[in-house]
Amino acid sequence: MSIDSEEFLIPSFLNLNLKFFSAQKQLRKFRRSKRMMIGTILPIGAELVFASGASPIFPLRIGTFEAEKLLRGTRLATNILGSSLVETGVRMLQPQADTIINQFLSEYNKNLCGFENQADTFNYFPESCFATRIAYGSSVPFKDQIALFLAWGTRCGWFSQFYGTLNDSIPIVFTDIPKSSTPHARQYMYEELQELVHHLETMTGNQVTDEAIKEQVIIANTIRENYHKIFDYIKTPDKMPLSPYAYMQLMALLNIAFIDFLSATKYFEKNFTHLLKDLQNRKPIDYAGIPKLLLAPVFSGSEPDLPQIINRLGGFLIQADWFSYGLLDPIKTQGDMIRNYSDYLLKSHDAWKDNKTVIESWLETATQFKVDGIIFNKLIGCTSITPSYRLFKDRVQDLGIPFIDIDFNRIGENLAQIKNKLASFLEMIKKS
Amino acid sequence: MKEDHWISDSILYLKKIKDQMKIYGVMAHGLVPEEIIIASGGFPLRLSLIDRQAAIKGMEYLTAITCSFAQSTIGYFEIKNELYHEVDAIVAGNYCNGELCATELIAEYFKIPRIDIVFPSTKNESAVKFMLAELTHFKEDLEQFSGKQVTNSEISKAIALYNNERKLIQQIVQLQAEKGQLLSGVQCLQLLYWHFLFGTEVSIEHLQNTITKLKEDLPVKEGTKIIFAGNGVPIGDNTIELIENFGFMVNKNLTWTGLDYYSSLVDENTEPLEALARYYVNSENSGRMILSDDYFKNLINIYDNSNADGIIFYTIKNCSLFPSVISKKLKGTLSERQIPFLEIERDYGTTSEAQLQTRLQAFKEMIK
Repeated sequence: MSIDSEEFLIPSFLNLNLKFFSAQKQLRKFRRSKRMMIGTILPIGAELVFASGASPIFPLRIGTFEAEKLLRGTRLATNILGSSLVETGVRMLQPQADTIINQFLSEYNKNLCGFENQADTFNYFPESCFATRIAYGSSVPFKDQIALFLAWGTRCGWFSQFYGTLNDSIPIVFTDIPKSSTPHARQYMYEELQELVHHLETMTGNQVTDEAIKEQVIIANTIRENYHKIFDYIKTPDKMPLSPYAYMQLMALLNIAFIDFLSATKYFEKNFTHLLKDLQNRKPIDYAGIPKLLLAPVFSGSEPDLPQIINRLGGFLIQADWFSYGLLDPIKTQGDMIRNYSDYLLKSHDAWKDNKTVIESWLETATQFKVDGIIFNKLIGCTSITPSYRLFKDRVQDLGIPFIDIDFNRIGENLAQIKNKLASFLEMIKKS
Repeated sequence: MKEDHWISDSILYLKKIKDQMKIYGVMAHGLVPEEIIIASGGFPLRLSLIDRQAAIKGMEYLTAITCSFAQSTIGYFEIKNELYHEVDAIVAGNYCNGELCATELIAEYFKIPRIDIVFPSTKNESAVKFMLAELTHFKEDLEQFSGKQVTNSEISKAIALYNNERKLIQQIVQLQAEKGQLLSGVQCLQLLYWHFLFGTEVSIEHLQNTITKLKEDLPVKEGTKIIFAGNGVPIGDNTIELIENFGFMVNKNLTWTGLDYYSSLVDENTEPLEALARYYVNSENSGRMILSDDYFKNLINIYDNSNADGIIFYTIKNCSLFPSVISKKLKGTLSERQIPFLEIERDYGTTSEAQLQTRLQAFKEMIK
C-alpha cells in the first residue's frame, strides 16, 4: 500500500505539506518583516503568541528539505493545470508522489537524526528523553532567530530541565501549570497566564487585548474542530477518505503542525478546512480487514518510521495524543479570555496529571476508535509516563485488548527487532 | 550496621504508637510540611530506606530508568518490609517524577490510602498563595482521614517543635564552626536519620545529648574537608561513608540529609499555614523548577565562607531532580573559579564501589 498520486495532489493536503516543510523560509520572511519568533515544543500558548503579534515556531520543523523544490514544482503544475489534469492526463508532470513523500520522510528523519546529533554535540544529557534531546538540538542552532521560548511547568521534570538549560541560549518565560484542578489551582493558573501575557507584551511592545486573543482562539478552535473530524473518520472505518498510508501521514503531519499551527494560523485553518471539504467529497475507502492500532504515548517522541512499518505490515496506526488529552476540545470564547485559556490548560494537564489518569485517557481513545490493539511506546529516558507501563499493561489485560510494547530511544535503534515484534503482533491480531 | 538496629527499634516504636496515632509515609525529600501531620495527631515516617534487593523488586512496578530510590520504596512494600508495613496512608506529592510514580503505584497495588499535595513550580507570590491553599486542603484531608480537627494553635505548636529541632541542628553546625569538625559526615547524617525514623521529639532528645557531648572536649576530626551537595543520602546508601573512608571529611552537607539544609526557621509570628507555605515554597529547588543562578552563587558563597578544600556533587542515576543539567552548569561555574570539584553519579548506593574509589583517589590527589 502506498500513497496514491491523486491523494497526494489534493491541493489543500499539498499546501499543508508544503507549509510544514518550509519553516526555513518562514524564518527568513519573519526576519525581514521584523516579526518576532517565539519557540514552543508543546501545543499550548500559540494563540497568545499570535495575539501579541509574534509567531510561534516549533524548531523541529526547521530543517533542510531538498524535496521541497519537487513539491513546489508539483504545486505549480497543479495550480496551472489543475490537479485532475495533472493526475489523469499529463503523465509527464505526475510527480511520482511516492518518491517525493519518501524523500521527504527520509529527509525529515535525517533532520531529526541531525537534531539528535546536535544535542550530543552541545553535550545535552544523553540520559534525557528523546523529545527534550531533539528539542534542544533543534532550538539552539536558531538562538539568534528565536527571541523567546515558551516554557511550561508540567508534571515532567525533564521538560523543566530542558527549559532551564535552553535558558542559557534562548531566554525563556516559565509558566507553571499546577497539577490540580481545585479552585485555587484555577486562580494560580490564571495569574501565571497573566504574567505570561504581560511578558509577551513587554517583549513585542504590543498590547495583548482580550479581543486579539479571542480572534486567535476562534481560528484555533476551527483547527481543533477540523482535527477532531479527522479522528471522527476513524470511528467509521468503512468510510475512510484516504488510503491508510496517506491517512497515517496526515495524522503524523497534524501531530506536529498542531504545536505551532505551522507558524501561520490563518493559512493552516484555511487549508485544513479545505482539506476537510475535499475529504468529504471523496469516494469512501473501506478499511475492513486492516487492524487499527493505537500508539501511546506519542508526544515525547516515537520512531518516525512506525507509520511506514505498520503500513507495510498491513495495519493502520493512530497517533492521537492531543485528542486523548483533550487538547482538541474548544476553548470558550465568551468572557475573560485569559480565564478561558487557563481553564483549557488546566483541563488538558489534568488528563495526564498522573499515570492512572493518563492511561484512562488512552483507553477512552482506544474505546472510541474501537482499536484492534495498542502499542505502548516505551520511551527510554522518560521517567514520567513510561513508568505507567505496568499499570497500563495490567489494565489493558483486564479489558482483553491486544497489547505490545516497543522500546524507543534513538531514531533507527533496534528497528529490526521492532519490525519483528510488530509483525508477530499484527499476525496475532489478524488471526484472532 | 548501626542503622539496622535503628530500623528494628523504629519498628517497635511505631508498633507502640500505632494505637494512638496514624502513621503517614512521607517521601524523604523534606518538602512535605510534617508540622501539619503532627498537628493532626499523626506520625510522619520518612520513607528513606534503600537497598538493592528492594530496588530490584521495585523494578517489577517501575521501569529500569526510574531512580533506585523510587524503586526501593515500592520494593519495600512488595517485600512487606516491617517498617513500611506500619504505614496507614501515603502522602503523594509531585516533587519529582519518581515520587509521583512511586506513590501512585503504592496506593494502587498495595491499597494504601493516598493523600495528595501539589507543590508549585515557581516561587512568586501567586505560588505562595497556591501553596497556602494546598496546605489548607492537605490539613482538611488529614482531618478527614484521622477524624481529628486540626486547629491553628496545634499547627503553631508543631511549628515551634520543628523550629526547636532546627535550632538545635543549627547549634551543632555553629559549634562545629567554632570548635572544628567534631562529628564526621556520617555521624551528622545519622543525626537526621533519627528524625526520619523516630520523629521530632525523639530527634530533639538525641540532638540535645549530642550538643552536650560536643560541648565537652572532643577531638577534632581530621581529613580533607569537602562540601557535599546534590542528591540526598538515604538510609542504606554508603556514599558518604565511602568518601570519608578515603580520608575526606564532609564539612557541610547541603542536601536534605544534611544539617546545613535546616538553616532557616518557619516564621512563628505569621499565621501558621501561611508561614509554612512561605517556608516550603522557598525551601524547594526541585527539578520541576528553573533553578536561578542564585543556587550556584549560594554554593560558591558557602564554599568561600567555609574552610573546605573542594566540593563533591552527588547525582543519582535516573534522578529527575539533580541530573547532569545542574552538574553541567555547576562544572562551568566551579571551573571558572578554580574550585576543586568532583561529580559522583551512583545508583543510590546500589552500584559498585570500585569505580567510586578510583575517582575519589584521583580527586584527593588533585586537591593535594
